[in-house]
Amino acid sequence: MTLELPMLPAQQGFSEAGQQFLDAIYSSRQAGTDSEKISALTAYMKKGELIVTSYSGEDSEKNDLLALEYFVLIENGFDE
Amino acid sequence: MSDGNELANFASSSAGKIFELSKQCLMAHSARAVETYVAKQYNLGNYPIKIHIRDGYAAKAQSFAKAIISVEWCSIFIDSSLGKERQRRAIAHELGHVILAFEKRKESGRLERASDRLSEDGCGIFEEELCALHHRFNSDPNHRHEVLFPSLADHRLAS
Repeated sequence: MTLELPMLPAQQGFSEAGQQFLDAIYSSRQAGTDSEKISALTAYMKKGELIVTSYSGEDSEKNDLLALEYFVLIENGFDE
Repeated sequence: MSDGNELANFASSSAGKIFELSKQCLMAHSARAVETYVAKQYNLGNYPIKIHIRDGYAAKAQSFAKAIISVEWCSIFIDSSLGKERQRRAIAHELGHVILAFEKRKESGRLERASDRLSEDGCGIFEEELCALHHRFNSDPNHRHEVLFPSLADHRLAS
């Protein structure tokens, strides 16, 4: 039996937490701190050594990038 | 920790903390099993899988659960707003993606994005069957002894 999932935040508009995250990504991009790691991960994707999968929601390059950016922020110690 | 009492208190409180944390480690046995299976089946030295249950993940990645699967490691992210059962099923689903991705890699030599309907259906089958097997195992009183510690039935914390 498949469990129904609630609506994704994109369908509801960004939450405060989502906005804070986007702000963190923007600041990080401005500082250039994470761009090398994200470039390395996307290069792995192109070489067929990394993929992003999802349980729900739309699979798209944009969403993959969001997932990678979140991953890099967590690896760098970002926390809510 | 200079005396026995201090050591005993530390050991006892640590056991409590670890037990509380272990309750948050969802599908931990299955994740460890997939690590072992992938490492052995696909000739990798080891294959670490990290599971992160995070507040507000869906707002950030536009999905309630995602896995970043590389040829050397995997990180699974789950939105904490999902109930415990959904979180566990989402982890099972993403573990299915890990296994299917490596099986496909045997043919193509590449990890490939598994967003097609067939792959999603395959992961759905993996998720349901793995969780159903857990359900059956944990529902069966004959298997309960495998997770209990009868030798500690008289311990002050056991009742």
